[in-house]
Amino acid sequence: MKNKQNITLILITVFLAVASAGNLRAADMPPIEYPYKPYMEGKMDPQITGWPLSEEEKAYALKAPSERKPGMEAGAEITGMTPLTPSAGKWKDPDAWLNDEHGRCVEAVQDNKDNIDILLVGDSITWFWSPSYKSGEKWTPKFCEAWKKRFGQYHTVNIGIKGDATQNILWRLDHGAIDGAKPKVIVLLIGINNGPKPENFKTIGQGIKLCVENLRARCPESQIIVVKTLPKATEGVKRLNDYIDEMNLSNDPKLQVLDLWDDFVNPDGSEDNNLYIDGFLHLNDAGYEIYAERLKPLIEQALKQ
Amino acid sequence: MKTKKQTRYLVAILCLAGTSAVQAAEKPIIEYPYAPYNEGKLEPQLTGWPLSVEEKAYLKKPANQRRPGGESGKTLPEMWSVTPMPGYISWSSLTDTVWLGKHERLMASAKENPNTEIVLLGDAFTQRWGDGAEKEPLIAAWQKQFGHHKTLNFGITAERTENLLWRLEHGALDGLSPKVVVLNIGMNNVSRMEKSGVTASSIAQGIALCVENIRKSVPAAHVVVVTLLPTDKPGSPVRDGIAKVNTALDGLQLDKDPMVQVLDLTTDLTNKDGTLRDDAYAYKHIYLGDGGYEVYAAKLNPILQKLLSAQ
Repeated sequence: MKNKQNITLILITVFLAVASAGNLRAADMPPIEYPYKPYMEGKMDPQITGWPLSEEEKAYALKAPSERKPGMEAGAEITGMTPLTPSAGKWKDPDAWLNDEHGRCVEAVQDNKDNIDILLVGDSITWFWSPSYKSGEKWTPKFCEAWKKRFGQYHTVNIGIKGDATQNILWRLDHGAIDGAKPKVIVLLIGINNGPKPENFKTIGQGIKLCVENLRARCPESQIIVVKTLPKATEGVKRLNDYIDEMNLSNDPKLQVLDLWDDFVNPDGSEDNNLYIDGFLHLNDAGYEIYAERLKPLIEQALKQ
Repeated sequence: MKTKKQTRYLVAILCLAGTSAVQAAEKPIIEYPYAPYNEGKLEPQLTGWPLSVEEKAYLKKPANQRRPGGESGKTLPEMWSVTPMPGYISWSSLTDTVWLGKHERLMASAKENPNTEIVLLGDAFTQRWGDGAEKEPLIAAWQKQFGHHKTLNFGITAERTENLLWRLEHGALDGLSPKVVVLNIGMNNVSRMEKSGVTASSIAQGIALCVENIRKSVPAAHVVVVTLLPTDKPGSPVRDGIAKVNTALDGLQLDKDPMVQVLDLTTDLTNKDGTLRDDAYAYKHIYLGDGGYEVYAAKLNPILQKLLSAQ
């Protein structure tokens, strides 16, 4: 009887210890400071780093994105803060982004974390390098020809998620996306889903910079390639891309920037429709051929380091 | 009684005319230099709208199989600019295809505006005059000079000569009898000179075929051909290509036809050293800006006013 009671006590103690460890982790801070103070103070997400998620964070992350925008905790969105403040993404099916997509990416990285040559980070344009995943299934990488032909000999993990914007990448990085991974090269292409316009391109640029800083803090040894936003040939995108130059990201000696503007734009200033599928957002096979060809020297350069 | 009989004759004649029009419609409006195209060896429906089932199936084939030479496994870049070919067609479904949808909407707006006086044909440089045909109004620079003349803008971004030829064959100007057509096309063919071996003379010929087609489709309309506008930096492959096409176009002397006029805006839009005028182009010269359209409209004005008032 006494023994049984003891065991129960021990179990309760262990349970409490684990639970409090969980709380401790919830209190962990991200590796970089975000400009929106209430976020840093935990007034938005209850768990600002770590994976798996606490029940509170999970409930919070599954709320509509509009309710989770910076400022909404006090009643009104502060638009300039959205690209700069981590936020879980969301698809129509409440769980799809969080579990199927982010969960799958975490698993892919964890399964491979000791030998990743190239880590691809981004949105659907990145996702389409290996569009071979069915929702709910274990991720098996199956890269498109354009990639295989040039980079097939390297071990690549793709954590692109359709629809992601800078704030989603930030949230993912802080919630387990690349924990413990030491990729040799990271390729980042993000920003188009933030909707670059002449009036907001600077904030989006700052959001991209925060993604780079977060990646750098987590992977100090990795080479990073930042791909400028692919042409939607608009003034907003052009200004964002020029702003990426102005931010001098490549002051970091282990960072290269790739500009694809001239490869994808017609003389009349429109997107070359032979390289895109309809809507001029996603690339077709010919578009990926060009993108891969332009990435090749940068990746080879980075892998040499 | 007599009048009734006459009416009957008239109806009969009209019916006959109708049938012969259908037969004629099976041949393209004009002859193209690539004979297998005219013979129907590439496309099942060379002209007319709506599209037949066969034509729709054909459009779903990959673009490289639909280009001249594709039917026999050859690459004939010198024929690309002079043979009708639709703009970008989606691999997934025709109804999703932005380009074809736009063509269809433009034809619908033509139907709603049979009294249109001016039709603008071209690529993004034309489209940015504003969508007189669709949601947006024409931009201020146009309104100021030509606001009282009903104008339809049929410019489609990224358009090449072959795409415009295809539209002209497949109903673009149906039901319209404009006084003036302003044509500015060919710039997007230029990027293929370096990449694929398309020649300047074939691009100029493609522009000439657009003119020929317009002249035949709307014979009462004057055509103003605006030569390729300058873009990019002096000495760049694109700028050099543009100059070569404009030289080749000069050689064709399109304005020998009294209904055709040629307008060159190169010196109006560039500085003395050949660089683009900052006040004429939008941010980083990615496209023509409001200032450029002001210049463009001012240059068009005396020509168009004369043509519009002459009739």
